[in-house]
Amino acid sequence: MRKLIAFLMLTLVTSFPAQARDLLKIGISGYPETLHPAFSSSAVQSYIHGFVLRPVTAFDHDWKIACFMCADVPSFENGLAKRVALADGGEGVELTFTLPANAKWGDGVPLTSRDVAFSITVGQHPDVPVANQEVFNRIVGFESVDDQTFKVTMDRIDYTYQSFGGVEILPEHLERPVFEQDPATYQKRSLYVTAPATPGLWFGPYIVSDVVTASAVMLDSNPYWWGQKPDIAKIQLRNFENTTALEASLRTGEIDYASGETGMALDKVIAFERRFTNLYDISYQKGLSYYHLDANQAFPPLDDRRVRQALLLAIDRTEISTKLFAGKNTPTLSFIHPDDPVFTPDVARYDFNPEQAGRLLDDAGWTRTDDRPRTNADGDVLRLTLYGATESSTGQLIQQVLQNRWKQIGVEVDILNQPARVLFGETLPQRKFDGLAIFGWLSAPEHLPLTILRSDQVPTADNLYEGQNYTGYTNPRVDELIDAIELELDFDKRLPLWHELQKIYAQDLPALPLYHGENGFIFPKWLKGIRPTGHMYPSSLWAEEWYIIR
Amino acid sequence: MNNRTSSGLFHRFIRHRLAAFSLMVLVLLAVASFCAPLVAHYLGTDAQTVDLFGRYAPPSTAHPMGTDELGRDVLLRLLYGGQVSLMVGLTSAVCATLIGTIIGVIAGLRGGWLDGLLMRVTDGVISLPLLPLLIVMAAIDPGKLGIPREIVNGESFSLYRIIFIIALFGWTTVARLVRAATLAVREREFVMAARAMGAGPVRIAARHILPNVATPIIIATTLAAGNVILLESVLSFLGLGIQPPVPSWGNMLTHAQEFIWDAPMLAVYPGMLIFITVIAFNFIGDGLQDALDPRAENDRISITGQNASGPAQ
Amino acid sequence: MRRFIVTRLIQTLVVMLAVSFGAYVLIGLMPGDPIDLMITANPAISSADVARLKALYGLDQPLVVRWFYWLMMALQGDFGYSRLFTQPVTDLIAPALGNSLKLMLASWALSLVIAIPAGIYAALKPRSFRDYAVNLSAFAGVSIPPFWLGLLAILLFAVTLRWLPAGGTGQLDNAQGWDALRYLILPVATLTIASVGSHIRFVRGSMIEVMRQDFIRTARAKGLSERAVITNHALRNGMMPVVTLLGLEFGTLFSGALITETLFSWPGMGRLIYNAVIGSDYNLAMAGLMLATLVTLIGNLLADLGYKWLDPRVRLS
Repeated sequence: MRKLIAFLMLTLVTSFPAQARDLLKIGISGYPETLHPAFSSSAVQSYIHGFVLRPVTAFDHDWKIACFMCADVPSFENGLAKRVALADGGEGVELTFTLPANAKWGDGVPLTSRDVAFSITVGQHPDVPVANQEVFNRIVGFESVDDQTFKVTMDRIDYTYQSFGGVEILPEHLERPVFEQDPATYQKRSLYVTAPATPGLWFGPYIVSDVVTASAVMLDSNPYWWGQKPDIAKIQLRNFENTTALEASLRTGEIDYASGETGMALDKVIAFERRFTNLYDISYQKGLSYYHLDANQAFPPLDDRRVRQALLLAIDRTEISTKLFAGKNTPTLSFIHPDDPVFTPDVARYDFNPEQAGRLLDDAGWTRTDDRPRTNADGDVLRLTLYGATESSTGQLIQQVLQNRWKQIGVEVDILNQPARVLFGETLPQRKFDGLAIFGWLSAPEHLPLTILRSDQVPTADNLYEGQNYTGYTNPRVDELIDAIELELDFDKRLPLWHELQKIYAQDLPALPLYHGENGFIFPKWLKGIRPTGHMYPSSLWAEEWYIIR
Repeated sequence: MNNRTSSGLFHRFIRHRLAAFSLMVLVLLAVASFCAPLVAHYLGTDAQTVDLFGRYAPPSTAHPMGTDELGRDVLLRLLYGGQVSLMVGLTSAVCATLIGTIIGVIAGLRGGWLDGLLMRVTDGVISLPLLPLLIVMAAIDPGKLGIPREIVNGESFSLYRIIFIIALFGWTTVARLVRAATLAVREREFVMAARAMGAGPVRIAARHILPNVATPIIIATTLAAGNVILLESVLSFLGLGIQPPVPSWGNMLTHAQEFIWDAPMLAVYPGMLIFITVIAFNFIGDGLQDALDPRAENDRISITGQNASGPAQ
Repeated sequence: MRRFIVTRLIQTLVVMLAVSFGAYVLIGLMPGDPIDLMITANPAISSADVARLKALYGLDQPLVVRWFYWLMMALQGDFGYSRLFTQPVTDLIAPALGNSLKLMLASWALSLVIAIPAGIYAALKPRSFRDYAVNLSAFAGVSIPPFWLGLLAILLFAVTLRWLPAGGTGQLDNAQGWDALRYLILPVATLTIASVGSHIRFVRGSMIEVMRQDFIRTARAKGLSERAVITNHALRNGMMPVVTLLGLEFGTLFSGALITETLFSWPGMGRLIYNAVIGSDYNLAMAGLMLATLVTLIGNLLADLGYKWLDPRVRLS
């Protein structure tokens, strides 16, 4: 018996699979609803698609618009963008793009402007519920010049006119028959859903070779890829539902790398670094995810600006940054990232000052005797609910810190967490949150907060919950500024408008700014070439530059 | 059966040393938990005070068991968590027992079609897959049931919800026990006599039936209490248990697993406490069984068997 | 006997119907209306679209009617599409069920292999030291929070000792034979420790009961050796309730082991049902719950039948 045990132990130890270095195993948390690029957009899906698809344009590492599937970014200067008169009398813009001449799908079929035309047809079909309808609504004209060159006409000229990032190119030769059979059920019958391992669906440096729904996506290098040949032959993307399990698998070598975009939360990476700094390369990337507290102004006393200012003054964001995030995630002034070219530091600041917070609340009629909660003249207690997503453990830590701070100035706060699907699908859009909600959003550089701050973007039952102005913020001057910024094509003239917008935001505080989130990346020492971007376009868009030190 | 003297019972129970010891442990835990405010006063802090400058502090005189990921006192949180966990365990078990007793008595006394219906319902509930249904129950939106937002958003709502859900599914064992006992005494002379004298069903149940089924009911309740505490930890792990900042051992353990690499002891303490409490409840149930009815091995098995396989999923 | 089976079958059917209706209503009470979710996901939707969608999904109908539609489709084997994974529900359930069965059968078998000898061993000398020792371990097993146990196992055997993988099924690594088995060890051990306790208690109780029966006394009085008494008489009768137990637990094989699956990244039924419920994936959640219930009920039925068949003295009401 003892021999048997000894033998078992031996096999257990020795049969640990040897590291195969032509395969990179990446841990992600989450799995997309569908691999079809038009029907869903989530961080995990963008990350996966980065390896196997390419947008026409995207933001690069310098936060500038760059071409992926075009030769040059169109502009009025280089003549690829042209003002055109629209049928309805307005002014639009015509953009000319040229696809790479040697671009091919994963089955060797050339990728041409006909594929782009087909993608727009799908996106604009009334029976096809694409995720980002707005992108397609803006396209009013399409012309295929030749196999590589096409022209699109957009229904307005705004400062983001150069980008054409929302239209994902679909393979006409594979998808058109499926689509034409019945557009209404195309979503379910698309090859992206029924046979995602079809090589012809993909055109990145990698193609999807196998899919285990909800568990993993396997990628092979694409033989027809026309760009730089990727160094790593195969990539596995594995989904972990539990972050502790993800970290355990990283430590045991079952995965090589946890993607900073969708893998481990910043505080987990910081803790990891403290223990294993010599075994891994850890890097941090400032990001465009803006974490804040939306204050629903439909619920008094949050309609009172003084109360919102007091709430922000009463919390010590520097302490949260230093103690929970080792100095990262520093307090932010407004929704604009400090590295964004339109940022200004010249706005109202809210450094930790509980006394001033108390005075503001006194002014607002919420007074306090001894250590009891604050009450107003009617004897109502100042009590708010703080919403958050169940999935975010970091958010829950912060919630409890905030709750504690607010209690110290006499504000009672109940914490209520809901699954993200409920929070973002119902509570926020239907403005059911009777208090504050903590969450973040990831955006592109110089992103106009039109749907967030404009007064006609308050979601209601009448407008079918369109818009993301969940706080119910209305300010005519802000509306004017947003419209002016959108139509001002000259950066230097746009800048003062952006600055004024930030000043008003910091004064009015429709949402209380917390921080711009940073991402932590844990690389094994032998994995190089991964360059995080910090915005919504993930590092996997440059996967062909990744390499392994052998 | 009525004539067993309580002193004899007591002696036999004490002979079951493990059970006696377990009872002591539980009483100690309960007393300690309910002394939490005193401890808080002595330490000069409370279970909710966040101190980000003292995260993961080692044990000291100010924090006898150190602090957690937000610098809160671990000892105090364990004690308050104990209040919540023990309260949830006992309350749910007692509620389930109450429902089971009422259904059992009604089925037994009324008989006929009502008995048939109630017992078929009992069979049905017993045969349900427990954990998936608990998840459905725990995940539904109370607002859609017309429960006012003020209550739903309150700190203690998740606590009541767990008690309610467990009571809703946990009554079946007791219902069967009570029904069987009721049938056994229904036709006896003293019950018939009481009936003839115009005693109502409530009176008959209270005077003649319940004393006869008290022992198996107590045993079932004890075992159930332990299982509920385990179940609460499982629901917490799934994010459906008692919501922070109200501490329970289950949610403390769940949150600690996120920080297990930094502070393993934060997971060890609540885990050990759950383990000790649940095993103590089991030992007490077992001891009571032995002391009260040494021959009824099979009843006990059906009780432990039913409940224990639930949380294991 | 036939009458008994027919009655029980009808009962099972009624319970199934009741549970399917109950589950349908409960899932309807989950936060998030399916159409509302669609609206918020797609701001460009028009009110005409909403009316069309509501009609399409039958949401303008009363709940009972919708449930009836669901039932009619389900009876024809059409469980619809999963909202979460945009795939037919049956395509999702098949692999998950395979994974769960692998895990559950292994732990079930292991648990019984341990529990039967241990339970008998303890029952032969009730209240002896060895009985206490077995009991103590049995109680310890059922009292450990299962995810805590699994986590400690991962920390020790996967992270610290590096003997075993921390999770996954091995399928992704194309693990074959022994390599594939290594992925089973930790999750199966975790599951077994949680379930073996109640199995031991069950076997022990049933054996003790049998050993008190008259026919054992008669056998002993006939002068048979204790060994012969146990193997020829006690075991056969004592194992009858164990057969019932197998039937009662049959259903758990199909509903998977949620906690263990989550912790060990094992894509099984427990995880699938959980995600479906949490994700308001009506079709997937209903199919998963109904499968779990149906198999549980069949298991119970088989258990009753088995019991009746093995022991004609038992009268089932």
